[in-house]
Amino acid sequence: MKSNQDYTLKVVTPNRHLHDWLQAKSVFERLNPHIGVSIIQAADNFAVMKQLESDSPPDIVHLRGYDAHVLDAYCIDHYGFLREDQLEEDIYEGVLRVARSGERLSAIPMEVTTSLILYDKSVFDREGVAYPSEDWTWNDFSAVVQRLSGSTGSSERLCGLYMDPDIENFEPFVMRSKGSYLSSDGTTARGYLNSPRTIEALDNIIALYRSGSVSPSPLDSDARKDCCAMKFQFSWSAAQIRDEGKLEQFGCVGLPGFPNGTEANMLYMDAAGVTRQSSNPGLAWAFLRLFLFESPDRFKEPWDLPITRSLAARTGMNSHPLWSRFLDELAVVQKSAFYLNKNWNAARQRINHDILDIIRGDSDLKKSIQQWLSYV
Amino acid sequence: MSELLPEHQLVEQARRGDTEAFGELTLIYRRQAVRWAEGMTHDRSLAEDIVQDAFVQAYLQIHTLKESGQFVPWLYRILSNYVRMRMRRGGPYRRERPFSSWADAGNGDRDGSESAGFLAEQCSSAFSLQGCDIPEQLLLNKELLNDTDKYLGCLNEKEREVFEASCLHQRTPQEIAADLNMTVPTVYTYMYRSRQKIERYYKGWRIDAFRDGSVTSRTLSRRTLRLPVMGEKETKSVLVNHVSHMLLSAGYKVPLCQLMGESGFAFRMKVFNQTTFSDGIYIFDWHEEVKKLFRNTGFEVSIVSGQISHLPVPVEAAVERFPVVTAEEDSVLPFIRTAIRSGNPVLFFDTHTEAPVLHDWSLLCGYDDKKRTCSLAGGGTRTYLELISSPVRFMAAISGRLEWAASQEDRLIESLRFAVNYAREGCSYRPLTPYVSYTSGLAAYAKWIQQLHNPHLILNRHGLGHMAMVYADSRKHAARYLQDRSEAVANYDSLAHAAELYAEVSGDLDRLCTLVPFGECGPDLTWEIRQQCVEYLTNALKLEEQAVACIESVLARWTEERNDNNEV
Repeated sequence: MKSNQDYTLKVVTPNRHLHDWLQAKSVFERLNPHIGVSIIQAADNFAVMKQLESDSPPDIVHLRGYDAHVLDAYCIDHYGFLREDQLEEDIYEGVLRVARSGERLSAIPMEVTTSLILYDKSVFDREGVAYPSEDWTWNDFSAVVQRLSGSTGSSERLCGLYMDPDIENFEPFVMRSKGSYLSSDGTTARGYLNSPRTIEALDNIIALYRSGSVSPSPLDSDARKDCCAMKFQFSWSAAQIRDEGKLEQFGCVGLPGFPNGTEANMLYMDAAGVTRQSSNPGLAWAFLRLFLFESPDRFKEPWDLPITRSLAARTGMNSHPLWSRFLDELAVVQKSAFYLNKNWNAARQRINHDILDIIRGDSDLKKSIQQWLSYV
Repeated sequence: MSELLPEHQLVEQARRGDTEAFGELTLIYRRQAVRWAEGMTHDRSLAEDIVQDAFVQAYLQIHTLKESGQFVPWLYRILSNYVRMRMRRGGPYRRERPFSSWADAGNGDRDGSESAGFLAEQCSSAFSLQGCDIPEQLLLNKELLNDTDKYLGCLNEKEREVFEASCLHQRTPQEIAADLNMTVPTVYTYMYRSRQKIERYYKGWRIDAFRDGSVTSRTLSRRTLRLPVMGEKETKSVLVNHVSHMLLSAGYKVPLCQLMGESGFAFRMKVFNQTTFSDGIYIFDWHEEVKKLFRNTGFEVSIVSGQISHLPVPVEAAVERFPVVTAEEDSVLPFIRTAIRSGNPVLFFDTHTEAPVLHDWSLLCGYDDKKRTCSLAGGGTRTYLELISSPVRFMAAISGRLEWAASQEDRLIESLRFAVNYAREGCSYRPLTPYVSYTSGLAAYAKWIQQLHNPHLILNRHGLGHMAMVYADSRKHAARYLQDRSEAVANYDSLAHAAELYAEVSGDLDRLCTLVPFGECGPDLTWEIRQQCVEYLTNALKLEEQAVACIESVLARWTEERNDNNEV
């Protein structure tokens, strides 16, 4: 192993959390005067890959999305470090459950987030509708969405729900109805995507769009996000609400339940890991640990969730009415189709294009599903 | 970390020819390698076969490994290549059902699986082309389709229905029985019978083919086109350059400024919203715009496109709706061979370019089956493996002449309308991905200026220089195009003024380019440099707004005249 003297760690990031990386660099270089850290901006994961395959590959790599194929190939197993530093127990189990490949953890999840329903209390109060509760069902949810659509207390038209028509956004609902897009090993969609439960859940969602109570919709180009009573959103949206100074105006609640369904949700995450090519993985890990586990300042004005309980406590997020609810959801997160099958993920926008056609009535859901089966 | 040391030593020893050291590496990585391969193939047995082959290849090639620390990525690349070579249309259970699996389904006869497997590959390739929404692909892959038709031609209607349902559509015998209103045993009978027939037919065809030399000539051919010299300074819009070269090689010379103007590339500007990366240069509807570039000059073009799902994809917003494809030669090489044999170079999106760009458009002008390389116009080669395993697949070649071509005036009016609409409304192509977003048209200047003004935003110097270079050049061509048209077409004097304004816009962007040169290290983007950039862009924006207004007045006058003529 090389000496830790006069070494420059190279970090490549697809332009995410650049200020946080630079902040960690500054702290690390102050603590380790003979070590330099070079942070390199990359336009996307492809540009990161080019760096990994270059003659001077990085010590640490940050990928947008947890791409297990790339990470398995280019990063070391991080479990050894986690156990040595007694960090494993501190990480939310759900996060590790989704991130690991077998017994391997090829990178540490970061920019972790999951989905909830955020509701505008002022709209509910104005319309005389009770706030949603954690035990609500799909029927309750659907009724509220439709009840709060079109009614108006002001000049603006109101929409019941904001949710981008995206197959990935629909997945938590499908999971909760005990349906799924793919088999648990991701090898096939046959028997899963076209199962009655999955079709029923997707049908319900499509029906909600067709009722004109969800925005944005291909049926209504004028619908606007800020006129919606509820929003299906990740924690990023909560951050936007905070930045607009409207945090008090919003409540949050879990996604609705389904008859004979289950508690489940999807998890979104980026990944950061020490590369196999690093000639000083110990040093690289020291920097990554500082960045991911010892920098509570990253969560001063959070957009995503900390992955450890101690960070959640240090930042006060575990007692915040909104952030704590997102953190609770980490207990039930599952591997979504994104992580299970790369073909599925690559076909996402083709599927989304079909979904717009289905909502418009130009395509049929069951026929489209037959086509989607062939993508996996 | 200490556990990593022996691995490095083992690799070093293996590079020096120590077979035992390589054996130990095999023991360490075999399980993981099988898991990778299984993850990609979804087939344990196939994965184990592939890993076996990959390790043999790795052993034979380990002396080429430059750094011992890169052993695992290097091994992964070998393994990935083997997976891609062996995978057919996403693996053995997607769109393809190996004939050998029919034996598992009940008939117990596994003889001839080699030829049956080949047939399944052919059929699945043909099927995927049929399912493709780009009809031109079918045309240029006639060889493949003809071969497949040749096989299936030996079956009667019922046998063919069963074969296609099972082999191409992956229907189970039970599903086929329900679909075709027959019993499951009857399905098995048809499957067995058609397999026997195809086996016999296939063997006969191969013998004939080898006898008349068609297989040998097809698999070992070589062709290089001698492309004409461009004779004009190239544009920085690399795509348009190559299209111009393709047209020239088809005997049709189009001035670059005309191609830039009529395609709209002279008027485009798209900025990545997050920071000053230059990806926006590549974000448009590739199919539509490439077709338009050729259509305007009276040519038809054939296109092959796709994305490989196991690799990170560049310019995701442009390729997001491409079909997922596997890295197989049959999807790419017949297209290249057919185009080059008919005298047409092949435009493709090249992900193996050298710095300063990560990727760009390139032109293939030859192929050599023996060396397994394609030659690039302008020098250099790409290996077949590089071409077939590129994460983005987009290839285009001229496939014919159009009988109809728009008049020069119609083309001018169309391009002026495009310039105005693009400036005012932005690009009509809207990516669906929520992860990246862009601003285009006149609003792109405002976004760019806003980025430079934001002291908290970390700018990308490389992208900033790239955009300045490309957009300065595009405005230069806008000026030339409008000047040229204003001289050629009567009553459009305002175009000359618009041309002058675009020339001034180009001047401002040139100054920006000098301040932040593309591909060169320069001073840090200090606040002073940012402010200077803002000044140039603000001025360019004002001038381009005036230029667009001039074009609007030309269009208004043209519409008025057209209406008057109609009334007369």
